[in-house]
Amino acid sequence: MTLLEICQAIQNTQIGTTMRESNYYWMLNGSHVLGIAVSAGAIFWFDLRAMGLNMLDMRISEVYRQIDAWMTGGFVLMFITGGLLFWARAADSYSNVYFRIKLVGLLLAGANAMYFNMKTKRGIGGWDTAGKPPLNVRLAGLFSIILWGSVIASGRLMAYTF
Amino acid sequence: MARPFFTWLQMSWWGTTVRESTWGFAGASIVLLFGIVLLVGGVFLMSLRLLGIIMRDRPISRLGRDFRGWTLVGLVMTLVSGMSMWAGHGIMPDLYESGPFWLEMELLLIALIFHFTLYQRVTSRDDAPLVLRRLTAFLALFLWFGVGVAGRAIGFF
Repeated sequence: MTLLEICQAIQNTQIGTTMRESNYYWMLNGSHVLGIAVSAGAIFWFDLRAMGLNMLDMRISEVYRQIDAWMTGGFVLMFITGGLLFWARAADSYSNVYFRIKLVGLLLAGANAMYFNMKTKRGIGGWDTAGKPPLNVRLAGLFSIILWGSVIASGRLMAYTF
Repeated sequence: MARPFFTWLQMSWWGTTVRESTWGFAGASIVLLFGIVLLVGGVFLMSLRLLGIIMRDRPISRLGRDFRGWTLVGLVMTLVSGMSMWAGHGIMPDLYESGPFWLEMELLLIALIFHFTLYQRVTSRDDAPLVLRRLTAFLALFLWFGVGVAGRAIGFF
């Protein structure tokens, strides 16, 4: 079975068809968009702190601790609603170039977050209170905004090209 | 009365430019999403603070100042790109006849008034009564999420 055939099978399942043809499909789309405001919203606002552009007198670890649950929770909401949207249009998505860009963006954004958490954050003692954190910290914030931005942009373009 | 305005806006050079360029409309919708992230993301986090869920150690007035600038940037981005999408929208489907479009505009009008009055007041002081803080937070979330969902629904009806 090729990947395309698997996607076709997913799209043609009873649940996939029911969602796609439902009058309430737009609600799934709507909650996916709202999830952006929660997940990317929380992430962007943390990135602004990491880049030294906002809340400069607040410790970076404190900003992170306060909104961590909302970044993670928002992402889970996005993943669930996005997964359901994919289920309904799996085969259409498979051949959609923006969907592929989106997947690459997601992987890179995940890698950037993991690198920050596992490597960069080890030295947090030295820059936790810094108004202008070191270059690698600011770059982590910039990459995050660019990568999540590309995920959002390709997701939007994907829906135009079905 | 609104009908001639729709026609004028959609036939203006602005509307024509958005409509006829390859990336005009799609580009505007991406700017709109980024604006939503800043605006609604900022309002969302501020509302969590008003409800006493996050950043309790930071005074509301202080956090209000932190959020105000970038939230305003997000608001301007959504308004400019949203107007561009309105102007650049073709006649099919007709926005004038679209239920979700009018719902979005009504909610947006209320949200804007609310944002620069009650929301502005409550997020710039530390002595607002608890019940008023909660009301402000719920109104903010309801109004801005409502604008977003109604806007997304336009494409489906």
